[in-house]
Amino acid sequence: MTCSVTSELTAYLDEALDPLARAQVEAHLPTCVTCNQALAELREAALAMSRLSRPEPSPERSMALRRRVMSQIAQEPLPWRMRLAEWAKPARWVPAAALTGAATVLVTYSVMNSSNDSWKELEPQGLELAANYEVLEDMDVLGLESTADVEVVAALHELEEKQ
Amino acid sequence: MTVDAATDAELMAQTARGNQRAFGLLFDRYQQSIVHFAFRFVGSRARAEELAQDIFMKLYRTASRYKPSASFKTFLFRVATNHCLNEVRRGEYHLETGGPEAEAQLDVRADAAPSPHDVLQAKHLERLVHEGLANMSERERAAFSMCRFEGMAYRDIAEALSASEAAVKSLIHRATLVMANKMRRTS
Repeated sequence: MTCSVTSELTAYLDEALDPLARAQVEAHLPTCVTCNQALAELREAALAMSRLSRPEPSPERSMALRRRVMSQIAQEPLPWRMRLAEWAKPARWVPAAALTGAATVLVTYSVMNSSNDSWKELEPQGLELAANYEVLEDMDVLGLESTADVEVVAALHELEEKQ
Repeated sequence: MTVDAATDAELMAQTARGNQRAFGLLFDRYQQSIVHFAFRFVGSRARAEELAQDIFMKLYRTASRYKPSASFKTFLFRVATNHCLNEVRRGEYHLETGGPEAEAQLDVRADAAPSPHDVLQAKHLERLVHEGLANMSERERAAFSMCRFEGMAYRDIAEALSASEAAVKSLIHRATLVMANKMRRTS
């Protein structure tokens, strides 16, 4: 014979009933021998499970399982967020930026030096004239920038001497 | 806060960010529980360890789906239950009963049963449990194991099984009756 509360007995034992259902079971139990016997057997079974010792593997076996799992984990790809963070790390782009910067400086320096050399090659007469200190002074004061101006100044100096 | 002192939820959050050491700590905390849970499904230590390895790999891969507001243990056992039920349904594993191999799996700790009589009683009880579990459906076995061996609340078991609390109440009642009948018949 199954009473109305029979299906509630295990939950009652595990204190998993709401207050109303719990009250109904507690009201029924003093009046029913069958339910009391069933509850006793359920309680004994539940207690036996709690007394059961959990089989434990040896430490070596546990470590072996851990090694297998962690080894497999190590082969997993990183989450995409981590992959993005790795790519954007300064350790990656600073050397590249530094290299680019150095290359830029080197190219610029080369261009600047090469242009100076070509000026010298193009105007040897200018160099000759500028070797005269006085002419150089005038160039500096007058802010001369071309050899044509230097020639004019040199001519003026000659006129002064003649006079 | 050091990683070692972190909560399960914090370790899981770090795992989602690729911190394998944090995952290792979670593994250490729950390895025994998961192997034990899987053992209740397949009755073999070696197969239980295979299942446990799969379960932890699934846990690692789904770390980003874990919401810290939920209980980590419930999340873990949801992954474990789904995996064990799927593997049993696929016929990959089944609960082994009887025979010398099953007997050899009854790995009772000596320090839990000091006298020979206690050892025998413990082995007898373990055999009863093993046979009782074999007489349950997979869902009854899962609910019973989470309730009796892991001490989980009915509502957490319901979440792990993707079931209602009423359904869990029914599963655990039927499973505990099976075990009670088994014990009555052999006493």
